Amino acid sequence: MSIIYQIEDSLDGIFTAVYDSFLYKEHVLNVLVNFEQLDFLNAYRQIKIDKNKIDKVKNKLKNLLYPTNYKQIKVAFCSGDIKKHLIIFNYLVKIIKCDKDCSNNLSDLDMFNYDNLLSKIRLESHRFKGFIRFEKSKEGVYIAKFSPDNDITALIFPHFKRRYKNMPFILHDEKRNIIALSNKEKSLISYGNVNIFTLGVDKEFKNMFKLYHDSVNIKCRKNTRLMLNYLPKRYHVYLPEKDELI
Amino acid sequence: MMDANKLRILTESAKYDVSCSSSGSSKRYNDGIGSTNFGGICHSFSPDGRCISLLKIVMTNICTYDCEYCLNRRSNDVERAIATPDEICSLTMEFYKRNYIEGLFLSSAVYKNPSYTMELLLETVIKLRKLYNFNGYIHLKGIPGADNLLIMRAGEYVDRMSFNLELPSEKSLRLLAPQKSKNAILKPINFLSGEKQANTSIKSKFLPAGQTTQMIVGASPESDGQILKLSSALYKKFQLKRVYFSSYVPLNLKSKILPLNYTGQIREHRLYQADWLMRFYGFTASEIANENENLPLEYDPKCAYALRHPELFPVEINTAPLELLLKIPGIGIKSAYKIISSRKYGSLDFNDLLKMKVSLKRAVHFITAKGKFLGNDKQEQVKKLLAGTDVDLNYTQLTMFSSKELITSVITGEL
Repeated sequence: MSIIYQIEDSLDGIFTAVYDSFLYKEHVLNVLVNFEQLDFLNAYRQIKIDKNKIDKVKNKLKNLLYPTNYKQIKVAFCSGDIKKHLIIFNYLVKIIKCDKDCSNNLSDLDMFNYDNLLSKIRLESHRFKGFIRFEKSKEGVYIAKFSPDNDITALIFPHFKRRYKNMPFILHDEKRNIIALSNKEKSLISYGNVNIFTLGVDKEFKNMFKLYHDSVNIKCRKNTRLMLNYLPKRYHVYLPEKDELI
Repeated sequence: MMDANKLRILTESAKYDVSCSSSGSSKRYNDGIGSTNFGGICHSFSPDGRCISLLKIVMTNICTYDCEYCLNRRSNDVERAIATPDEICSLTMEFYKRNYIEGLFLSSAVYKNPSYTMELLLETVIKLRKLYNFNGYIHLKGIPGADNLLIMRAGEYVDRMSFNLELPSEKSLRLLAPQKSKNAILKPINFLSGEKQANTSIKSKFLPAGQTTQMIVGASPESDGQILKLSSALYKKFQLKRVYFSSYVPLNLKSKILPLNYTGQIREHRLYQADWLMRFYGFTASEIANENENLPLEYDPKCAYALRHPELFPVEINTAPLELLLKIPGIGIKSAYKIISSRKYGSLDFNDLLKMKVSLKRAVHFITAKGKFLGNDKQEQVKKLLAGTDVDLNYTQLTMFSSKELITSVITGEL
């Protein structure tokens, strides 16, 4: 029987759904989060989170998957893709059905989609290690605002902590209102907003960098397409050197 | 603090140095600011499509040399400036704290004499590491002819060093850069590579990201085959990490020996493709191009290789070893590994390759899947397909008027 699952928007929700699909032996067409709009042509099942079921699925996966692949499940859930619940669900179900770690079998569409989801997150978090721009506030705190496609704040935070050990800084994901704070002693990630006014305070170095960006460019080799391939337009908003586009 | 005008002069002089990588270094464990990333990070991209990863700057552009191709040659009338070590250090730190850059790329014109310039560079680097506690990436251009002791000391502080080869042969060097010689350039490269090999222990912090070099392509008459042979020898003999090619840009229009035209990016691109084939795909220089041969501009060197060796193809993707998969045009390292790991679970057909997003545009003429061949087996047609021109494109639309004179007479109203 084909059915659509309604789950809670969390990894636990997906784990319970995986358990239930085996329990009821159902063919799951789609996995939707609770608040999504439903149509009236399909059958639905509301999946309720159950600690017992989650543990069973987790244990099974821990036994089947290589440790690195098991850790990746958490990373995959950071995706901003609207279909991520279904993609992760399909991947987990397939792994349990295969009864071994077949994550490398990319000719299988479920595996490929999952791999694609992960590589998009990896690419974006790598990009943002470079594309984040800090502004120094009057108080001496370095503040960076950005709005990535995927929820990568937690993934890139360790990189900046390693880099700026003694420097107080804040990463602010404006899309999801997540902030990551760090100074010499402490660091934390939480939901919230930054209300420190930074506009125009740090103008000197912004202008210096803009000047550097312009003077390092070889004009006769202009190649806008290549530049936009590497640095898509949606990222330009927060880059001081790309104030006015060519 | 450095003023804007000085920054403009000094960075404009450094922009023709192509190296921008910030990869391959190891971590420094102390309490300062900054870290290096093994994969390297690009922080921005300039409108010419090149990445901005390091603050590329010259110490000074006041030069005693008179190299024919260089913008800063002594006989050119350009704005000159010189920066102090502190100016460069503080600018690097401020940029780094705002995550604008991954580190510093420091070069210099030959000011007074090579050893004096090298001393200035060394002072800057030591200050940045010791006084400013900077742990990020530093790429230092060496000055050929400077004292070995200075070069060696610099190697202890920086991540990567490079000496520019400038031109691919000694003959051209003598003609275009009379004050430089092949021996004077190769000597420090050899010295550093020996020094690095002597410091092989894991704890050794001597030049963790190795050495690179750069040469101008198109200013002198050397063929691509010759250039590739030279770079392959450099990789083998001196364990260089990269050889960069910079296509010739005519900056000194008054010069009588230099060509007037741009070399064009496509030749540079083909050379880099060939370079990649040598470093990652197991090709040798002679396999890619013979000594006096240029690379074809219309298709990539791997296609050229495949067309020259019809006896190797088509390759059955379900049984071929990795080395052979890597020789198929259009299949890169990622795709090759995708195929290798997926075929363990069952044999693959063309549909599976499509699902895995393996690019088949070029590969289709050189592979079979489960014994099936879907490409074109006529070499002439394959050549045209690879070059991106269709067979039919040879025909052009006829004009209404048969000759040029007729067209002009129509325009002028005579007809």
